Amino acid sequence: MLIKKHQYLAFVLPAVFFILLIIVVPFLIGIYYSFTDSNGLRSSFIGWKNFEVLFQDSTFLQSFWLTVKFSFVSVILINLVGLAFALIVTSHNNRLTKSLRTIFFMPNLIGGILLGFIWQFIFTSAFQAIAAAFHLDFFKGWLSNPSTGFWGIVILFVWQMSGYIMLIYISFLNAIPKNTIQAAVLDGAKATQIFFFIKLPQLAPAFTISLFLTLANSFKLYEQNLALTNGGPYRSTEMISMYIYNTAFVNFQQGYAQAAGIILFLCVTIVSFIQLALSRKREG
Amino acid sequence: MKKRFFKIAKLTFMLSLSLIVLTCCSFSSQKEKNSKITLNFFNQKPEITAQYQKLARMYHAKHPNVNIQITTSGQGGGAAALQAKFASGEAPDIIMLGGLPEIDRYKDHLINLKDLKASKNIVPNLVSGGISNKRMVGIPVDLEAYGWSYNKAVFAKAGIDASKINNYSEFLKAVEKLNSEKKKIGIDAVFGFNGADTNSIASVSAQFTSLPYNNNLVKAFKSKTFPWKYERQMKNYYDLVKKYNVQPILSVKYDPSVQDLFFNGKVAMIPQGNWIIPTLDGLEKGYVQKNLGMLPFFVKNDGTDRLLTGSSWYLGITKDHPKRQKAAKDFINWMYTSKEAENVIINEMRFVPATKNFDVSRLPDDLSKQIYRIGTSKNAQSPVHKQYPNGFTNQALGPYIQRYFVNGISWKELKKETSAKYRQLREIQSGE
Repeated sequence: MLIKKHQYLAFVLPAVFFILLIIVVPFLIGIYYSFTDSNGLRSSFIGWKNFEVLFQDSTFLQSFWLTVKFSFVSVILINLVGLAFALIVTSHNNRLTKSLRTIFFMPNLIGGILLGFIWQFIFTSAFQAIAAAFHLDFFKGWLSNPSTGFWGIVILFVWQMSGYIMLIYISFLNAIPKNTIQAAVLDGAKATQIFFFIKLPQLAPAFTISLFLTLANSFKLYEQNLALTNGGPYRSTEMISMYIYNTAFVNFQQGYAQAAGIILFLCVTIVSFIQLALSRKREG
Repeated sequence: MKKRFFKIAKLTFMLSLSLIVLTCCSFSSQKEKNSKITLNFFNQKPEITAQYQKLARMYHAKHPNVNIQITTSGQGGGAAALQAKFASGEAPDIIMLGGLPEIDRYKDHLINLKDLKASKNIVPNLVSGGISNKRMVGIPVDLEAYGWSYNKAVFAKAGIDASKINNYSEFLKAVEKLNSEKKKIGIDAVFGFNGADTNSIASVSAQFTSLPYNNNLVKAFKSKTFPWKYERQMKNYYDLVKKYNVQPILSVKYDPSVQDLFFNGKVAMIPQGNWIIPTLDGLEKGYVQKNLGMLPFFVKNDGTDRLLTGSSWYLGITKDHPKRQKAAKDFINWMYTSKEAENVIINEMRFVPATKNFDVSRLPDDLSKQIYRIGTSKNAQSPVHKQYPNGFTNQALGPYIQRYFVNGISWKELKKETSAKYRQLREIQSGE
């Protein structure tokens, strides 16, 4: 009887203990450190100063704005490409679509750092070769100026994430009852009509999940940024996570970096909640 | 009943076995502690790891009870790796530190080296680079010269005598001559400035920021403002580089600039010092003696300009493991005073020693001899770029000058932004 009564706790407590130890406690300590001038070894309390300086720091604001732009562009592109992939591979059921599934998902299996180096090679060496062979200026000097650097990261991230998002869309597309589509076909609906009036409304929960995942991931992007451009040229492609890392471990302003981290946390939380609330509303 | 007994017996047996094993372990490690010591040496210069390992082996041969374990982490990751070592409680015994900001971070762990035999002979103008709270906690690794490295063969082809370049206008004339005869002497451009590397940008900036501190590196470290005293000459040089460099300047990286552009005579000058000697001689034996010369920046432009000479790295000893301190001190003394260690340092690392009263004829090439003479002379000047706040080089100065190189920012804006960042970094970095 006693065991049965506490069975629930016995299963939950270990997990709660580890979450407290690994996530909650460091998080609270982190909040404390954002009010100090910690350099990683010593620290003293300095109140709101970090936050005051942070909002006057042009580099912080610049990398923050860059991250917002990047998230906006990549969330839209990833979901469009992912949905397109999902529609392609679910349109027929033959060998081609099965192998395409694997091919589209493959980039997600490679780690971010490695992807960064692969694309760095493509952008600098392969593009250079194309530019030289066909005299196309478009392919010249990629990653060497701020705008190509930015689009370079977007392309890389879309390439990596689309396959993953595709999986989510596939599962929801497969869950759409076949008879509704057949009924529409019998009524003479065109493919576009079927897509917009039957498939899309039933994909609403998929959008909620996919948007949330891509949004959170693009805000936290680090290793792709590091491997592809490392913030260059002249810190113009330095996203917020990289800014935080560099502030903490290159400048050794760890309290200050912590403050930037808190701001990032607040932003991601707020944006995600708004997005969840909006899409839930539409789902309902 | 029998089953249970069996179980308990098994358990007891296992427990006692593990106890025995444990005691054995602790016993043997205790024994080891009494006779053998392993020193941990944290090195931030990956290019000389092999030579340090050789020194460690040589020392071990003389002192069989002292082992030296060398951990190397450099190229940007060194500072963070070192902090991780301290944070995890595995503080190394001997650490290589770059500049006073890094020394300041570990000042509570470092011991005073004033009474060390090795410290007695340090070149005077380098001493202040290892001082924290009036204690001498670091001794310089070597003597490095900062200026332009020029290719003697290229200069000869253009008919330029480097010894006759003694002020800025003569330098300018030489640069223009090299540029006009580019095709004839087979160079791509006059300069091979590696604009991609913020570290090189910082060491060049030191040419214009060091003089106001007059070798007082502690003062440079504590300064709350960025010195713009020689701003005009700084701009002149940057504009010159912008005009006559291999383009696109921000794509020129350190390794290709030394091993291809400079080595193959595709450029006349690169802004590097004697740290490129091992690389060049590694590519072709005797290259340095034949082809490498150095020219100073003409900043004051009154005939007193010399190559800047200083040390980027200092060695310190920590007090975290008191039992190993004596051995650590002895190892450093041996490295700085014994002839056999010196031979490895000057002939294999190709360092110019940072010690007084060194027999200059032992140095293997003329450039090293010249650097030693300048560095030990009365009017030697130390560069201060290692005393900039943490991150200033990579996060502020470097990127802003890169922007200036590609016309992304005006000189006025550059000054404003750089000054603001300098102040902000100094203020928020805890320390003194």
